[in-house]
Amino acid sequence: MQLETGKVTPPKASPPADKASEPTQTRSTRLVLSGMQALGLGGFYVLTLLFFSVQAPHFFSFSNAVNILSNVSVIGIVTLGQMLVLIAGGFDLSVAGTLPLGGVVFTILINHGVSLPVAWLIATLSGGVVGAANGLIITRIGINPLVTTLGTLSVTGGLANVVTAGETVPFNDLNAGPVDNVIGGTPVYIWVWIAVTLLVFVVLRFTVLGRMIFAISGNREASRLAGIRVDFVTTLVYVISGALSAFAGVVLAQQLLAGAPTVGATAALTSIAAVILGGAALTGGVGGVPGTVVGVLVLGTVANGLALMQVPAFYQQIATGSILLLAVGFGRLRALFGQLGDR
Amino acid sequence: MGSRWRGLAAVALVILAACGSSGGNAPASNSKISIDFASADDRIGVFKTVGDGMVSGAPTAGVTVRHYDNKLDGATALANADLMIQDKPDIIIDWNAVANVGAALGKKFNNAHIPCLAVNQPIAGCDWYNLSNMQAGVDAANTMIPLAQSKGWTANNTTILMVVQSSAGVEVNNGPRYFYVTIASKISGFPTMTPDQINPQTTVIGNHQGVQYECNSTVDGSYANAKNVLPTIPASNHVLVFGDDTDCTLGALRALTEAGRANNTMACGLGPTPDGLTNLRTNASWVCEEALFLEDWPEFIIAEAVAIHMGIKPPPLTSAPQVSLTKDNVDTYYTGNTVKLLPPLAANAQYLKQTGILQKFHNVQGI
Repeated sequence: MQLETGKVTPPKASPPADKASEPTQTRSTRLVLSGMQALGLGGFYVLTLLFFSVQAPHFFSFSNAVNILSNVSVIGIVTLGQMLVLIAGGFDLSVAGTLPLGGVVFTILINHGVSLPVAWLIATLSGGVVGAANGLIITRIGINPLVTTLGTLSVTGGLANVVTAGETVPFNDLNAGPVDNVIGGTPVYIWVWIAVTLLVFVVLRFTVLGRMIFAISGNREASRLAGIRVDFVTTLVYVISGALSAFAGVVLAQQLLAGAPTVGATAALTSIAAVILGGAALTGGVGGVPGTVVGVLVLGTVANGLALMQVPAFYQQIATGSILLLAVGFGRLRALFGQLGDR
Repeated sequence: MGSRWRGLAAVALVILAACGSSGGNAPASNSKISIDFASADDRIGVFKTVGDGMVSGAPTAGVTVRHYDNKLDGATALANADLMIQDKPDIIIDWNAVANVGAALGKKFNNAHIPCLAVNQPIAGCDWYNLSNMQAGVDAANTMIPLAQSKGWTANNTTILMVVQSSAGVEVNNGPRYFYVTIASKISGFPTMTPDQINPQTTVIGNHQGVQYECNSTVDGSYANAKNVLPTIPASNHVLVFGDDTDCTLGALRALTEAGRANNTMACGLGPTPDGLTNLRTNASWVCEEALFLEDWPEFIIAEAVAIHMGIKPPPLTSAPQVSLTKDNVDTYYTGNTVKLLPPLAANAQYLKQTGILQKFHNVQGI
């Protein structure tokens, strides 16, 4: 059989893709969806408050509201840093090690006569150094955030135990914790959390840095071509996250009047859960301070309400886990519906 | 979006309603003393026993008890302290097992002007109920020493294995520490150490005559760490084991048994737990179980709380009932796993008789 020879006809070029069929979300779409989740979560939170007001003794009182805010203030500060990292497309497990590290560094420094502001600054910077290490490893060496921050979690947790010889170190001076004072019936550390929250809100919403944090999660190459120093911004969010975690550790140490290397074991998962509850996506590019704050309050309020109802600890675990799964599941559904809506 | 969130809310509320079936205790009548009790960690059996006992023993004692869980976490203990203060009970009883956060807790209770009783770890400004871990370690050592010497175990061919939990603080770790110190003082050849010299960073003493490792609170945690440590102990060495609690010792013995070293091991637990009692009765390697009678602590704790409420000033420390169980005397105090009899009150606990609480439980020798 003879093979036909002749001109080779080039394949027909594929028609240009219909841009309408490509799933895209503009920034305004993302913000609207995030806002809707926050609004939905806010409604859920109101229902939670109503439920516990009926079921739990002492729940609906000013003192208990202060208790809830007290309980969430430390994790609330950690969560703000986690939020920035998640929006940028990563996540930070090392907060569970940086938090106790900040607390024990602060405690050891003030016990050795270092002034409170200097000790606080050094402790916070120690967390920033950890964050810088995370950022540089992720951006320069290319190890993914899960492995990187898991590694630094282990290192920082170990460091906290090394510097304290594994023991909780009490303050030599029991008056060395100004955050334990009260202003307007409210402990100072709650005001500290509020102040940090407002600062992060302003940075994220009204500054160029905030826009860059959102931008780099979507398309890193496009962001780079647009002139954003992607590696720098990525590293910076990890620095902020580490610093905020250590800062929170200092606050906690002042509450405990001691630096404890064992605190914060659940900080990573709790902070990630709160941010996701508040509307952020694990893929990044979505999220905001209001939703994150509500997410933190939901988790803290549920824990408070269940404790007041005398619910056994194991049932509390089931309830908290169930709420997280539901919230994440709904977040996933929201993303899917969002994509379908754009088509 | 709205309907999805309504669905989320409904499901969540169903879950919460289902979990909330236990509810709270009935409001206290005017004649009943109200007690708020925060347990160390309900996830750990030995601690859960006390928490459950406080709630179940309250009707017999004629008091009401609200129960919180500190989850072995200082921050949680602080949060629970706020909740207990909010309840305004007649007395707060706090078992915070994290060492050195007592000052923060005491500050809250004292500022609230609510009498408080600290269990196990001291809390500044609160009365204190505790066992003596030091005594448990000394008793365990005194039980093992003659047994070991009768078998020809010496400092040249024996390792003292201490299983500790550093985060629990100095008092809790006094058991293994004084276990070593007592043996070293009575069997020549072991490096002599003061208790202060054995600290959380101690790993090896002498030529592996003493070895210390972290328990991590559970049998599995102790077992995993023991497996890492055992290869460092000469295979021909006999081993004397004592841990912060029975689970810690069990983990070590499990690892030693797996390594084929059970026949030249002597173990002593601290609890007792059902596992510990079973091993004491059936396992040749398990020679003693320091009994703290934790399941009966509630009646003593409630009695001390009532004493405080009555205006009786307790001594600085009220000692918990404690005895060293051996294969010879275990059935004097236990029927199976159930306490049959408690030892007589310690000297510093005699005042508890005045409350009439212990009499309601009918199980203390001499009362």
